[in-house]
Amino acid sequence: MSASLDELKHLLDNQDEIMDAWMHRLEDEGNEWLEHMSIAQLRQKSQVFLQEISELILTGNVDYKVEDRPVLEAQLKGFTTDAAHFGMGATAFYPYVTSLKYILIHKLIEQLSSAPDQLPAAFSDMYKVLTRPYEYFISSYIAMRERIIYSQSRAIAELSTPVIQIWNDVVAMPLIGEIDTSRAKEIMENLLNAILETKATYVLLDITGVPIVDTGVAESLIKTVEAARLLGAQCVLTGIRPEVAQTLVMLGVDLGSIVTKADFRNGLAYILEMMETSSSRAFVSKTNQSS
Amino acid sequence: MVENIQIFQEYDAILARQRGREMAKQLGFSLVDQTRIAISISELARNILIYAGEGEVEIRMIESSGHKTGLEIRASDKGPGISDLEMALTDGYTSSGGLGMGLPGTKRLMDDFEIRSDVGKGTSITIRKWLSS
Amino acid sequence: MQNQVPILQMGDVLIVTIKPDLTDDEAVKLKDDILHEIKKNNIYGLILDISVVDLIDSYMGRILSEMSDMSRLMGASTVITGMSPYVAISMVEFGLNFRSIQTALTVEKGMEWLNISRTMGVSHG
Repeated sequence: MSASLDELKHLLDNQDEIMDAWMHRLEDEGNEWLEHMSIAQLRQKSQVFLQEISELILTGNVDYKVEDRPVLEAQLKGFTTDAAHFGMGATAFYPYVTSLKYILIHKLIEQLSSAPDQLPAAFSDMYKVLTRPYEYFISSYIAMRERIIYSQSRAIAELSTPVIQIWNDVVAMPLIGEIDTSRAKEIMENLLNAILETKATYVLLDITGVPIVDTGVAESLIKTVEAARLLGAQCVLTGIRPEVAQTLVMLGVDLGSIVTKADFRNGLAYILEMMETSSSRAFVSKTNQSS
Repeated sequence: MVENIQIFQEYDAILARQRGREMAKQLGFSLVDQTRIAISISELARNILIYAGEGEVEIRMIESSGHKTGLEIRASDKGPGISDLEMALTDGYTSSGGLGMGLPGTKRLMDDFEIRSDVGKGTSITIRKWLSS
Repeated sequence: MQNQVPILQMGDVLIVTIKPDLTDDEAVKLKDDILHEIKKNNIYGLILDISVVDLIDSYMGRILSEMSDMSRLMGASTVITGMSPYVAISMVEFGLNFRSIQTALTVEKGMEWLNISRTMGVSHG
């Protein structure tokens, strides 16, 4: 162990040489990192990493924890953020570390040619030291992806309750994505405020983009339609897919109090027809009054 | 922040829900939540008048073990009590000839709903609404 | 009674602004007044504007329903106008939906609806 450590020490004394070889290799392999940064940038980032790794090997601290090495941890977090930002996969770190391993293995074989019996111990140390950063990268990468996915789904939820004025007196609310309790409340409040703002009498509520319509979702839709009606707006529910219709009937959900149409176009046609009849009636009524 | 309102007449019920709304507003509840709270207080206070004749409504600010802020309302009376609680919590049931969804509706508007009733001794209903963080 | 609710008349339509925190006594008086006006002036429509009402509990809900039912018996259609979103949301959650009562966003739209329904009545009868 001590002998191999000495060899490693000797080996790592010449960090610049290793760095040169490592960077060349990454370039030859067409490493993914180089699609997002220059070789000079990557070299700069790798400097701290190589220093930390060298120090760990030299001090014989092979059973360390990344969390106990603040400099290394910060460096790895930086790599994780970059990988997530560049849209690289969870395995992005693997070829990068493997390249370094390859360089070190070759150097070790060179250095220990006179004492090949020390090679296994040296390899083992090096592997141990290099495995930890890789494990750390993967787990922090996954955690970060989960955070990103969570915040994106929140953003999508906020974006996906838009109310669009599509005609005089008509607003549309195309719903996309899962509807849970908190989103159902958001939908209701957004729609009612939009009705108040636009003074719309008709609302097209389209659920083509809602993947699952169960009893809970159906109930929240019924409540939304009822609340809109209390304000004085009539809702037409559109985009009920055949499988949704089947589920709702099987669940015993009564949508009888709500006007439903197969798709958005039919819903709009229905509303325009209603507007026409009511405006012609209003016209008749006005002429009656004036005569 | 605790408010105690004795309920003897209709005006007291209106006062209680107005105070409840004010406290909810102070705590930062949304307009919809303020209204949910005011309706619930109104229902409980009117129930006191209808079934027991008199009682009291206590409104207080509370904090949960998880440091969530909320409003707790306790409506209590020494009236006849409710003999069939399950029935009283069913939609559409009424024994006063007019109202009827007071309790189930209140339960839907609130986060917590607890009822204790002893026939001949009285009824105590505690409801809570938590500020969503 | 100083808190008297004013009843406005426009043609054959009554417009009543319901005040918040209506008490039993006030409600009884208001119902009497409305029904009296409907009978006296041959009223076709009744608009109950609730834009200043800050909540509808089962008591208020019942009063509005009763006003609408009684007016219908006397030949007048009722439209409730001006409900705020937060009142509507809490009311629906509570379990009230006014399914049999016509609603409109504003008094003006309520008027429009009454005019349309009057024409329908004329063309059908």
